[in-house]
Amino acid sequence: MTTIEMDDGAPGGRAQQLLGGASEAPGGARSHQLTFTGEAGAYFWICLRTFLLAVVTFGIYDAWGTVERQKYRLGHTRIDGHGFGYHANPMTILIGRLIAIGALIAIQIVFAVLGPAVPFLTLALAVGLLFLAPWFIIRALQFHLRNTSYRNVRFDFLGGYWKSFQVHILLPILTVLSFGFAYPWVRMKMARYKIDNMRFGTSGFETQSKLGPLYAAFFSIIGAAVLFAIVLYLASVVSVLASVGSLNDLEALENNPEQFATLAAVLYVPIIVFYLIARAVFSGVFMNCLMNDMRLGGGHRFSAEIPVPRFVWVSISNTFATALSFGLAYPWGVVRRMRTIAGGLILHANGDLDRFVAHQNTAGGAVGMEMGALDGVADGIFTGAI
Amino acid sequence: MLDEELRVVGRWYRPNSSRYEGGVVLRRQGELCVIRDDDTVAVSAPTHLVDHEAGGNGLEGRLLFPDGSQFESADADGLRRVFGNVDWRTPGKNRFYGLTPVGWSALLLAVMLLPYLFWQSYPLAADALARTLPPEMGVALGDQAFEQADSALLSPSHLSGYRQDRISGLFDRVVAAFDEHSGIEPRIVFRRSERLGANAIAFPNGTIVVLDDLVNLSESDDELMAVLAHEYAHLTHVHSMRNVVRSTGLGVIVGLLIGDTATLLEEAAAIGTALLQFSYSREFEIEADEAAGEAMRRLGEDPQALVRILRRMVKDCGEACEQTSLLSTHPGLKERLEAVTNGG
Repeated sequence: MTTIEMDDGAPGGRAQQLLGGASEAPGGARSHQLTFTGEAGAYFWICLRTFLLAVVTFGIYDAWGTVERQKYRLGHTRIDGHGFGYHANPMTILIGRLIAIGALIAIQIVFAVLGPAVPFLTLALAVGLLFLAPWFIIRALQFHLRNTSYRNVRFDFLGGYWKSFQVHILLPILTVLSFGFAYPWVRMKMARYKIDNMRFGTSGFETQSKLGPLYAAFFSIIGAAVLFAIVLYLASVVSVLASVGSLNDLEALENNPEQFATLAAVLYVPIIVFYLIARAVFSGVFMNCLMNDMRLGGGHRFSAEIPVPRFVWVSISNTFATALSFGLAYPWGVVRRMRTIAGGLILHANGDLDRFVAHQNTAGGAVGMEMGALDGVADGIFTGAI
Repeated sequence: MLDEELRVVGRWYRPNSSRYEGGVVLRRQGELCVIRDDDTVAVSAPTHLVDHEAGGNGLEGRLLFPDGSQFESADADGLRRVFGNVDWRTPGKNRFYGLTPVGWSALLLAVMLLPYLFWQSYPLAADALARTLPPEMGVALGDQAFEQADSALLSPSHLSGYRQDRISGLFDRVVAAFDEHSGIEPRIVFRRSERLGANAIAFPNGTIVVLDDLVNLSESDDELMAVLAHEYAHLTHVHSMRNVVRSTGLGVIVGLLIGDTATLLEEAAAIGTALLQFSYSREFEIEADEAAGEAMRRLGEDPQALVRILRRMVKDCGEACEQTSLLSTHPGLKERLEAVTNGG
């Protein structure tokens, strides 16, 4: 048996040979296509079991279910044959959720008792939450990333409070002030805040996000929306004329709620479909713009070429399949979506992927990673946001 | 020297590093050991200091060692045996994605039974809570409701003082026939209402409003006494507060379950809640009918007098009022006849 000597002569060289590992030319660039190896059938049964158990335990088991599903999704997302690990403790999540619910009830009680007596109580609470939210977002990201690993090295998040406040509180206000035209830029800023502050061990990520293609997609969607609105308007006028004879009979239509409802429902479906397409196009283009040419410390580079038409089809068919099957097709949809996204991502590694080292914050394997319940609270509040 | 039965091949990652090498893990004298390919020991630690991540369903099993190294194997079952971790989620021959067929059946059955259990136990729990509330709450609530009704719906009675006194006397006899009282002093007041017609209403502050049309509709004293007994039973059974607690609780539970989503689900939940509340209302009516029937028997009067006057109140209704409907706050007259006759 021939063995190829590693540059540092580590026994790892032989092990990799035996296991069919990635090394062939030390120091050379290798491309690793991301893969998602999860299966719809298995994920369906896992989702069904965890959901039913959550129902019969009045939601308590959902902390365990959440972790199990996340383990499945991350574990089957593979680079160079290695899956990601997820190590969150369900008990931490449960305690965090219970505290969050307790706080919610406490706030309700405070409002019921003091609400009428103390003016500006709502305002004070809203402002307080406004300033707390950026901090909670950071803690939630830290919780998830520190509990996520790849090849025995944990991720981490090092974002600061003020930047988080700018990105999550101030920029959305700017979106409104700009009549929505800043939206793609703001979305990109938010995502970049997350990725640029992400660490894999001691290595940092860096995005090269390009706004050009994103704005091209944004304005195409707006143009299409205007055209779509005109077509829809004409179609509705024609159909009204066809059903009532003349526009003077519009009052008759108003007096005939059944006919009016039918007309509204007929118009509603194309609007929903258009919205779903627009949203999927935007997020497909967005992911490509965000992750293409993304760098990871040590000269590793990603390329993102998620096929947008395929992604749009997957998203829309998922939505309809999920709705028509009363949610039963949801796990199948998740697997398709993750396959589509993974299939468009490639890591161009600079040499081997075995030189990452854990940061001391997150080092220590089994005992080093205890996060407080408060991070579970943050997770409970912002699960949907991340 | 080594226990050959319990050894699993996999990858060992160096402490806090993404670099790995091949090896096997085995258990030796209560410790988990990773042995490299060249037979040197890579790491060794007592089992209780090692975290086991079970894997399965195509995921690798992992052992996280306290020194920050990690052993990973595609043979998740083997790794579980080495670690000695056998819990209820362990996939085995008889398990289908984490549960045995019996487990799956039990789970499905439990989920289907849950609405039934809730339907059975929720009213009991809500009623227990309602009975712990101070009577003053009911009085405050009743005062408010009565004032509102009095100013918006009711006008002074046209009954003569003599008739009012006579009916008050009947009411005193009815109250005396009850064993249980609510602790709130009842009082009877006479009003007239075109919108409410022939009716009587009990408010939780102890006020029972008797409307003129009802008195005029009655053909005998026992009919009036039966109606008064029915209304007084609403008070002794704390129906108002029980209703308030049940309804409020339902609202909270539905809100927690489906959140604040403007969807079809919300509509469905609203309809379901309304149906449930109607059924609670009918339950309270039957309770009051049974108590009224019992009181009438004690007074030596005819318990069925209640249904006689009820039939006259709804005389234009016919068969529709005889049968109980899901959408009605009051039971059908046939059911109520049974309640007054057999109750107590």
